[in-house]
Amino acid sequence: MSVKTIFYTLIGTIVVIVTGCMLVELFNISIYSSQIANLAKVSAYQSCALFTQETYKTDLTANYGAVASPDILDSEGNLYISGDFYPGDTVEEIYLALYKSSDFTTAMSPLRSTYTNLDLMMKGLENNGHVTVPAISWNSSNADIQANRNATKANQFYKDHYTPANLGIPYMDIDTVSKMFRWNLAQLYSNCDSDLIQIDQTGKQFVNYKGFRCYVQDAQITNCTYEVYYMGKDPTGNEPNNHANESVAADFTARTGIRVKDVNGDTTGITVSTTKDIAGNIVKDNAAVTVVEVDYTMPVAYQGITPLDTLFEFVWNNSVEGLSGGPVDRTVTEDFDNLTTSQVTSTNVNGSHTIPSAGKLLFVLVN
Amino acid sequence: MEDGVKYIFKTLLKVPIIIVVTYFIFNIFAFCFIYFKMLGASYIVMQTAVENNYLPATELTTLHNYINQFNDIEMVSNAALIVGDDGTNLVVYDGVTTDPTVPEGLTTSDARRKTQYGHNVTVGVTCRFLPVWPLQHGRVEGFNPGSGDGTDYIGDPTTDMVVDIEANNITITYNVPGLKYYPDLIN
Repeated sequence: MSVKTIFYTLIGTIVVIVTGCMLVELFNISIYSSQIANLAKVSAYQSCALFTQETYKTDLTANYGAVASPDILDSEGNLYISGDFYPGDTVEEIYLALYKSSDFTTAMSPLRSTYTNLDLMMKGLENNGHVTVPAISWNSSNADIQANRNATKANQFYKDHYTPANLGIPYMDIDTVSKMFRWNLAQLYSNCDSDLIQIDQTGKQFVNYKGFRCYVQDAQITNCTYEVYYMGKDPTGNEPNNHANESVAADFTARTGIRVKDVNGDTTGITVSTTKDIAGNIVKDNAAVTVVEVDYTMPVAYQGITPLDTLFEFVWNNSVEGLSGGPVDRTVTEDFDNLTTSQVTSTNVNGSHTIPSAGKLLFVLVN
Repeated sequence: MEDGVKYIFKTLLKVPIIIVVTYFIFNIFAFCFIYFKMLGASYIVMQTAVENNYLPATELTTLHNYINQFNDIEMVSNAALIVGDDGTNLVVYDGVTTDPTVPEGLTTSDARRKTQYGHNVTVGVTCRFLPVWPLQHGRVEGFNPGSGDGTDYIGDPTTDMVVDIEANNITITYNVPGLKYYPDLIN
């Protein structure tokens, strides 16, 4: 066996091993990256559904999904994701924390002109259930009677802890839904096994999912955008009526897949109608549907399932200091909220190697 | 003459080696193909369990029928849907019992029984891949006691099948939390 043959054999072996590892990593990334994205979508959707179910109103015990779920621990027994979802211990505390917040007011104020009941609900909250009820008598006008009814209703909404979900509006409290989102993600990705919740070189916890590092504790719902589809005016602009505005209904159906009855001859789907109260004001609530677009993100890095990454790291970490100064800092950045493309691709700015796995889903409540 | 005899013997040796290597490569491709199909099926099973906390009767029957179709492939046997874990073995669906009383010793939720948000459920798929080799004699390995040698499982075949998963070389399981809250369920 000549020296040439020995070198050919050595190089050939290395090439075969590296190529084999790369193929395995390629298949792994191709298959499981889409699974990660799909599971994140399922987790986000289920967390929106759980929030809408308002479980804190029916079960204040720390049982699964009610007010809280069990804390998730990492492989060393330290807390990873807390199971406390809601901000408070009683129904009253939670209700006020969620619906007297500035986030709620900012998100729902634009919808008050469309939803009469939402407007009343918010008035009840603003006045802590003590909206002044104007007195009425046998000769009061319809406007006065309606004002009396509205004020009474606003106070009743506050007393009964009415929420936008009770009125058919899918409001999402970003903090609470994010907590549920993280809990769902951590359980899903870890296969309910705390051994898969590990710690990286910088001491940061992550869930090891098929070679991916999922930094679930930094996953969050980033934004909720509310869009109202008001289908109350018929094509000639008349209301009240029982026929939906076909162009608005068509846009709604195209976006959500939910059909509207009597639009383009459709005999199935949701029905819309507008009415008038006794003061002559159009009540639009039953002709409007709000769609919320939920944006979410979760930082993901890849550590691989073969020794290939370890090999590259070994080579990389043995670099010589050059003119520009010390070796590359490969610590993971903590600033996931403001992660930019340049940070992800550059190895000089905090050495970040995480990529935000972002997604978006639509959530609709039909009253 | 000697070279000719040498050549004949070399050829006689090369041909079966080439045939065996070809079968080996074919078996690798077939294994990958079947593995990825099972992986896709397991993902659907897992997603159904996550979205409902269990496998509802209709979906259970559909998934069972789909997994059963794998048994029609000559290179696959014992394909089954995993619906639980009794602490020692995985429990496979027998195709009949959709809402059983949980057998004694079942430590995690049976995927045929509705549970509350957050409870774990073990689901998955399993099968045995049968490689093909030249001059292999035909054999039938059945999952039901009447059609094969019946030694591929342990337990009572008229109730839940308890499968020794070491007999199956492709087993993909997930232990997932149910993410649906049922207001009518008491924890």
